[in-house]
Amino acid sequence: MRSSFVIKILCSNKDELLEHALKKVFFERDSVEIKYSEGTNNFLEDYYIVRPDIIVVDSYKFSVEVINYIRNQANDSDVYILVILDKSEFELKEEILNQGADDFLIKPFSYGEEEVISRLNVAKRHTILYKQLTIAYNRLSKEIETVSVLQQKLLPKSTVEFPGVFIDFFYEPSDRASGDYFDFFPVQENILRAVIADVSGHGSKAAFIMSMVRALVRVSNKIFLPLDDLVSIINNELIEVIGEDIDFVTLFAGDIDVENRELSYINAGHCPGILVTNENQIYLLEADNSVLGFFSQEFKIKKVPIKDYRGILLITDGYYEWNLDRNNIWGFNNFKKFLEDIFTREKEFYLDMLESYLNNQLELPPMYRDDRSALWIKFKNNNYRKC
Amino acid sequence: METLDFKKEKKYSIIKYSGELTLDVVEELKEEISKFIDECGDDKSIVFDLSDISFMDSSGIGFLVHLNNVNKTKNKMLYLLKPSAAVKKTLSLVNLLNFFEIIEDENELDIEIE
Repeated sequence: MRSSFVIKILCSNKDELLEHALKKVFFERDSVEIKYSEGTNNFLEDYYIVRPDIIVVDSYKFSVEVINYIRNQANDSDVYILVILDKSEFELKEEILNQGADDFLIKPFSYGEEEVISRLNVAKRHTILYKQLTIAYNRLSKEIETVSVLQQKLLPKSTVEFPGVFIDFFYEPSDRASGDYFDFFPVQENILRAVIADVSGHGSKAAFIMSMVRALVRVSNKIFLPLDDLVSIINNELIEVIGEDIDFVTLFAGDIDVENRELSYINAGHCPGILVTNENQIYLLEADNSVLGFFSQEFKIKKVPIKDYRGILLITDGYYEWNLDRNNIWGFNNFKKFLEDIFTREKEFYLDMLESYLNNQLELPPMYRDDRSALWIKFKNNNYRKC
Repeated sequence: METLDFKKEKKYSIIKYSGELTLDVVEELKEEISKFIDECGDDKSIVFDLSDISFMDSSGIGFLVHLNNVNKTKNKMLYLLKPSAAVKKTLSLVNLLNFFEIIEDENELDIEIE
């Protein structure tokens, strides 16, 4: 099979038999470049010029020098190194492989050209496979990158002006495509809807489900849907799409009524919404419903008066699900205590401040293993006035 | 280190997994456990021993629900045996603790499973 890529070969010496064998092995390829280095002094210089896929290098002493440089200095573990040892160096064959060579030949070639050809065929197969894998990996990588760019377009880019509240948000994916989603938009003149959701897993599958949830949530930006109806529609759609698979979505959706100073919410298996009182106490809005996408549920809206509260913090579990050590997770309770401390110390709270506290005030910086999203909605004390 | 063990008893079959139940392992576990469940025959209850799970992420939760659903469609019961504190806490956070049949003491297996 012909491939579009070029195989580059660098040889330390010009040897008639090797040259003939190389021509035989690569004869069908018009995309092969073979360079014979003129003496050992020029070899490493040629290595940088050619950037070879296969290196054929002669003699034990020089091979060790080349292998050490390429594997340890240039950090090139991809190039295939075939070493040709002299008969007197036969006992060093294991050592040369341990140093980083991929294969060896002993000169004079006891089975003549056939032996050289068979070893060059191994190098050729290895190189073609490696190149095909690299192409496939790059293609996949590019696709995930595209998904990631598209996905980030689905998240809010800037805050919205809404009377009676100040909105701050933070997003940090762990992979290039993630399953976190958050949003906020007015649904009525005096009601701001805030949503945060987390799709299980990572990558493009999670991103796909996330975009589906976002599309359904955004319907309520155009046509008013009460929270219970909205979450019910999302659940039913997810059951239909996800079916018996292992994926699911956790979601917290809240309507902040700035006129009546009341929060209505549904928590479907999501980590608790964190209400902060004016006295910096934390009140948790825990899940009353289960996760979405597995089974039918009845969703009931809960209501909390917010006049005595400083704001609400909505997060995804990536903030606290990371290992303190091999056996211990930091956990939600520690995160809650950590937050209480910040709220007590700081008159104003921003998510960048939380980030700075997490990076600087813990014994060791967190080793996050999941995506992180946060929404901080501060309730302003001034009274809401209808325009 | 993660380990997966299977044991067949008279009235039920036990699956025991030790380690972290996360995205990195669920696909492989799904395959291995499905094969084992198929080998267990129609009248068996499946007991999943979760006493040695040090951490479970959202994919782990999904895997448990999936396993429960698969057993239901095959008219089998899934019991979670001695779920570790990490498992209980995670299931409780997503409001799924009551979704599963939980057995806290393996001596009760014979009594609970008819």
